[in-house]
Amino acid sequence: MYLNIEHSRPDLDTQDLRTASDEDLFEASCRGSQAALRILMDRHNRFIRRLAFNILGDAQEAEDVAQETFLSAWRHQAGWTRGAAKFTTWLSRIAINKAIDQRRKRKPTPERDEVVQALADADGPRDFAASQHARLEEKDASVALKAALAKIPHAQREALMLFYFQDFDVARIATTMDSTEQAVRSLLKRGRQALRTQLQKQKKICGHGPGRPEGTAGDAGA
Amino acid sequence: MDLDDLKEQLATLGPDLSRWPKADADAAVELMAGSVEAQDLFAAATAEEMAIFGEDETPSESAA
Repeated sequence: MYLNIEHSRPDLDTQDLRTASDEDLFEASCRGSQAALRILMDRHNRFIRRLAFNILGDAQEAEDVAQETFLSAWRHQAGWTRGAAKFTTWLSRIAINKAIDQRRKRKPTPERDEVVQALADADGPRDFAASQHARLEEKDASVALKAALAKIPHAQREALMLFYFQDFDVARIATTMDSTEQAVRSLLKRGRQALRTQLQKQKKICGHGPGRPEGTAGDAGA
Repeated sequence: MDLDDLKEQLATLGPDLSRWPKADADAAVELMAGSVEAQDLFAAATAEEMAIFGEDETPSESAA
């Protein structure tokens, strides 16, 4: 499903649109500006897809939900009132509800899950983990992440590496680290907090670095 | 699951529900279905995860 707005009556020129707030862009898109809608989607599509993916675990379904989210927002523009909630907060809620609906439509497939688990157990870390690790190696952002990882306590680092890059679950990490699941959960939680703190420190020192994606719902509820 | 439980799980395992025990993931979905506060927590955790680990395409796309 793809958005296709037939008419275009932009009130703002292109330069204005690029620097306009989400709220101004959305109102312009509701008045028929294709350019405003395109910029709005460019800003938030990646976040909305990730949000849906985190609920669905399926990239194609997440893509579909993202498309439906923007379409629904545009169709139900009266559902958002300036000042009542940030546009991104409203958009995120639409996406989450659509992703939940999609997840509920699925039929349980325990057999498939068992096969996938058996393959994972037989072959070791899944391709996903290796690919994600390789991708991190290539990205500039991974430099900051690795530097931050190097500065957190060893046990926290080990737990995070096993969780994110080896795709181990808590039980398997506990076995690997000769620890308990409760201890591993604590390591993961404190490790994530430490990682966030380190990245924030780097950002302050360098004046840049990994930050909250612009226009995301990181301040949801504000 | 209540909001505090959700917050704890997000802080521990992150927002990718496929990494959570299935019962917990299902409970989180049920909570979010009826609570905008839960939805906002989940959205904030997703934004934070993207800030830490990058804003790339969804993991399965990179694995394809």
